[in-house]
Amino acid sequence: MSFLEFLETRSSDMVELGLEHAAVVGLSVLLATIIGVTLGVATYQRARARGMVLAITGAILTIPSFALFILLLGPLGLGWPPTVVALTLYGLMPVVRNTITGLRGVDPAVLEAAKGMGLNRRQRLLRIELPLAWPVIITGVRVTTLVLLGITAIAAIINGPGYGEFIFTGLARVGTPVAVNLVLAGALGVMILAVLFDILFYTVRKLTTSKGIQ
Amino acid sequence: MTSADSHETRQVMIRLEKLTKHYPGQQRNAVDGLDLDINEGEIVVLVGPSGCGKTTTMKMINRIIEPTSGRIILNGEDVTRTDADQLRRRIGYVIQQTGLFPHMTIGENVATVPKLLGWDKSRTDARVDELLNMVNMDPEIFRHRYPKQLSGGQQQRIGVARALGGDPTVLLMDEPFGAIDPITRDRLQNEFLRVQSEVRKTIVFVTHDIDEAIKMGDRIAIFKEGSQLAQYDTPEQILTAPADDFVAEFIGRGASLKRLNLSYVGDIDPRPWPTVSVSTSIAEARETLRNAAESALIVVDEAGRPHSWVSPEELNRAGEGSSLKEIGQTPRAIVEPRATLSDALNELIAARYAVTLVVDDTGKLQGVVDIEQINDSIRSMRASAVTEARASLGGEP
Amino acid sequence: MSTQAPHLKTANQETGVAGSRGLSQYLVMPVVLGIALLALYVYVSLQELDSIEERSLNAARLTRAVWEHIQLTAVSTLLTLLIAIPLGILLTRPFTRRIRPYIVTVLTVLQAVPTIAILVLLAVAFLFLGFAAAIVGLVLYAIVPVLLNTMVGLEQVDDAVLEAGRGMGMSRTTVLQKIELPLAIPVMLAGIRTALVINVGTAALVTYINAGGLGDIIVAGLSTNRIVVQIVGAALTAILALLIDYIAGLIEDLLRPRGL
Repeated sequence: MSFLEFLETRSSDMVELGLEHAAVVGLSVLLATIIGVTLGVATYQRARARGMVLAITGAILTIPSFALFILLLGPLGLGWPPTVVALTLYGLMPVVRNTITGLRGVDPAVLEAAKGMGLNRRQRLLRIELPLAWPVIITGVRVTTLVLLGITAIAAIINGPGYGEFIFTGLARVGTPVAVNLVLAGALGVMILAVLFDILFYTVRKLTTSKGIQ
Repeated sequence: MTSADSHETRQVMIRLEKLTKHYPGQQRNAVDGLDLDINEGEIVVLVGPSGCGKTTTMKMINRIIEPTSGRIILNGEDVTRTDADQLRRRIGYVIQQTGLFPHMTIGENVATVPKLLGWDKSRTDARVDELLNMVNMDPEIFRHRYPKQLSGGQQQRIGVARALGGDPTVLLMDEPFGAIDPITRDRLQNEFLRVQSEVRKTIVFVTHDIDEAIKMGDRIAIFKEGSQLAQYDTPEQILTAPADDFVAEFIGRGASLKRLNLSYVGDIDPRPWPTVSVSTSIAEARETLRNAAESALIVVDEAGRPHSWVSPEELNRAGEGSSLKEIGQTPRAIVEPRATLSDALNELIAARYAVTLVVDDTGKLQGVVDIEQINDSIRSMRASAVTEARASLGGEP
Repeated sequence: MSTQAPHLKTANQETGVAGSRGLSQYLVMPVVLGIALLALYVYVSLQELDSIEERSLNAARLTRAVWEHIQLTAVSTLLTLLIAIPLGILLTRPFTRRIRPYIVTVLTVLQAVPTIAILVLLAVAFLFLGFAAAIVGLVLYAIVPVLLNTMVGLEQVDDAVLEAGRGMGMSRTTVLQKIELPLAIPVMLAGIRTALVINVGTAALVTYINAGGLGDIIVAGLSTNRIVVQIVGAALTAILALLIDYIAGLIEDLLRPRGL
């Protein structure tokens, strides 16, 4: 059976796994963005706190995903919960880093003008700093998404959702004709998702960034 | 120009009392026990070498920098400890880098403070259009543009319009024209003076450029290094009677020439000059010139506007049938009463017959100004300044 | 692990974390890892181990797994650098100016390929198993970030500096040696560190193609359903990864040219 024939017979699996893969990544990216932006906003003005949060989220990213999935197996069991928790943890670093970089990159003159016009701390953050840092933050979210798409493939070890199932099934049938097709289909699915998510981010970035700073 | 005696009748808008700023880890105070009264509706320019505390002083007025001690009284109210954000909405703020919000349109930038103050949309929109018109930026064209689409000079105009957004009584300007090329700067300064003649705000203006201080200031506060106030007076007084060597050195050479920027052609009476109408015949014109002490005639058109200069040679060469319309040369040196004596001097130096023509708003000839008149004006300015300086010696300990 | 973007690690420098670390901050990670190891030891000691667990968790087996893991990481990283850095230099020479953006785009997309897919593909498609296969898989994956980092590092060197170098009469090669490479070192060091982190993580997966490493312990625990074994394998993998990243960070700080 050729690869294309394989894709045709397994098309419903491809779509279903793709939706799962996209959903678990989407959910984790959303959580990582909420937590990461909050951490960034809370720490960007203080060097020590900033250094600490970057060091910790960076260290998390250093832990091999295979190991982290296994370590979460005990407390969280199999399937979605450990997958989402692990992915969210991995996703923090790029978001936090870009939030901090973006907020610290805002022109001091703009901030002084805002302060001089009587915008209070919250108004400056919500109306000036975050909108100006937004293109940098969303780039961090995009990096996070790419990172998580790949890691999700490994989550199949703990019965996590997504294309990892194809890859590990292929591995289990090593030596049979279908094995190569399974692995290729899994890899292809992840790459298609990567391209789709990239287009999505490009569009969202375009739509949510003021024309004044594009 | 504001004359010195009108200050006494004006209300104090900003009073700084023993204002002091100390930065941790520094030996000297950045600003040290400064007392300063700023009158309503005046432009007070803080000027001095870098590190003299002029910017720190200004930034303490809207508490971008919090004073270490001392008091700030705004329109009779002690604002040293009030809510800083509320205070700042009452004080316009213009900085050198403009600090326009790049993600907002020009209209949104100018509407910032009105929105903070809770104005409704129609009032805010009307205010935006009014301010854009005031700074010579057509609202139809610029309202929806972004700051990056504007030139440096246009951005600074918007900076001024934005600062006036909430109709503040006080405006703080931190080297607003410092980053702009000299030609545009000159134009913006003139424009700003025109705007100020309409809005009559109390303005604190920081610059390191003494020429700008002389041009813009109703009064100038010259700071020495170490935040000492060397002299606080009108530009005329500072130029004529510098308080000490530091001030004299700071204003530099050419104080007399600088003073010419402070007097206007309208302040002096233009001298008459032999004049004929274009309809006059050549023969009559010859006759007029023969009886005059001057060496040429000014020809004016039917509305009394200068048409040409004619010299005796040109009159002699002209045939009997020709008209004054066809001979002579177009006058170039023409000023209006609003021009400064410095402008008039510039014009007449290069002009024929060493005079510049003075015309009124309709272009009608009023007479001429020559170098003698300008010289007289300098002399009388100096004399009155000396009298004033003597008077103040008697009044103050 | 997996698809770490090449610039992930450079951020630490930009935000001034690595460069300005005090002595106490240098001690944090070793202390944390020491405590983690101790806790792991105490945890295992308190368990009643059955025969399967005893067989999996004996010192010789663990030491061998750790050693294999280190070898896999070291060899693959070394090969990655030998291929990626010269290639990166080559791809930033003037003749590639036009196609460079496309190269960067393709490399970025390639990074989305899951590491596990590359390894498994080697096994199922070519029946290529064992240490050599693992090295090929690791290198194939880690080349991309190091290559990107090298290119970015070399490209960001200020054109004015290069022009000044050429203006002083340096040849192209001298400019590369004396100016470009030293100035690009911080970014390349970050790329190397990224490669190390990726390789130490991916090496945990090569057990699936019979290439050993700490993944052996984890998979043994999974297949026999022994949680203690799984935890020991996973914890050791995490500790080793953090330790290697920490050491790489120290070396990075030492090698970075002064004044940058």
